[in-house]
Amino acid sequence: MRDAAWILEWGLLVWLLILAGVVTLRVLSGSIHNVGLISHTDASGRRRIRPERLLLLASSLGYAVYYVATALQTPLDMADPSLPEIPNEVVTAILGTNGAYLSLKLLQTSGRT
Amino acid sequence: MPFDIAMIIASVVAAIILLMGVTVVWLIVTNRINLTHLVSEPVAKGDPDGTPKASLSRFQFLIFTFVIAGLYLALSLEAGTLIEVPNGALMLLGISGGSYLASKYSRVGETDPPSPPVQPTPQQRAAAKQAAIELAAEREAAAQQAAARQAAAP
Repeated sequence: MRDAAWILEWGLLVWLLILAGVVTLRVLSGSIHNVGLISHTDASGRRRIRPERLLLLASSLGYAVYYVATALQTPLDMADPSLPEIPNEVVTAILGTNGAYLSLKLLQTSGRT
Repeated sequence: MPFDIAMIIASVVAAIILLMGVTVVWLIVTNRINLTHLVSEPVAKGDPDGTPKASLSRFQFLIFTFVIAGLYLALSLEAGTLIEVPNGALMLLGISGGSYLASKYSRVGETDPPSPPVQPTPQQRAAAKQAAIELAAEREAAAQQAAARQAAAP
């Protein structure tokens, strides 16, 4: 029984890594449409980089990389195994950048329609 | 004996799940599952570009899902048991999911609505009504003929 669970867990991990690799490669190569991720088209049709989008992208990507590095470097407590804690400050920062992004997006949307 | 049955069922379930995963990856790699607009939003009505635009909230949701799911699996394998997920990680997933929903909601009514069902023209309606009347008349005549034949029969 343990063997089947072990194979399934390894299989799912490999599957997830392959999927993440395929998505990353396609985002980087442009096969997955990524135009407009950090820019906004104004009324005159010009694309402008938006600071709130750049901030949200940088904070999300940066913290994701930092979290992965921390989780893989920290020795696991075998008595009570858990994913690493995320400090409240980080949650507040991500919430703030999301809030800024959404409010400015709503303003732009209401300005256009 | 019960252990053997449990082992067989667990192996079959594991094989089915892994087969489904392999199929999905194969279809993605051969482009039969199209990921082009995985992180895009539909084109807005007033958008001067007219091209789908990548959505940052979708992208963030994708990143956090991959990171937390991947680490959960990796650390569970290391611990040999299912591990705890801290509240902070769940909050991050909740924030990015909520942001995605709010972003989607902000565009409701902005994208082109689905085309309404086609309404028949007055001429088509009149022709259909005429055809129905003719059909009813034919049926009535056929019924009358059948009744007359029955009455004439000895």
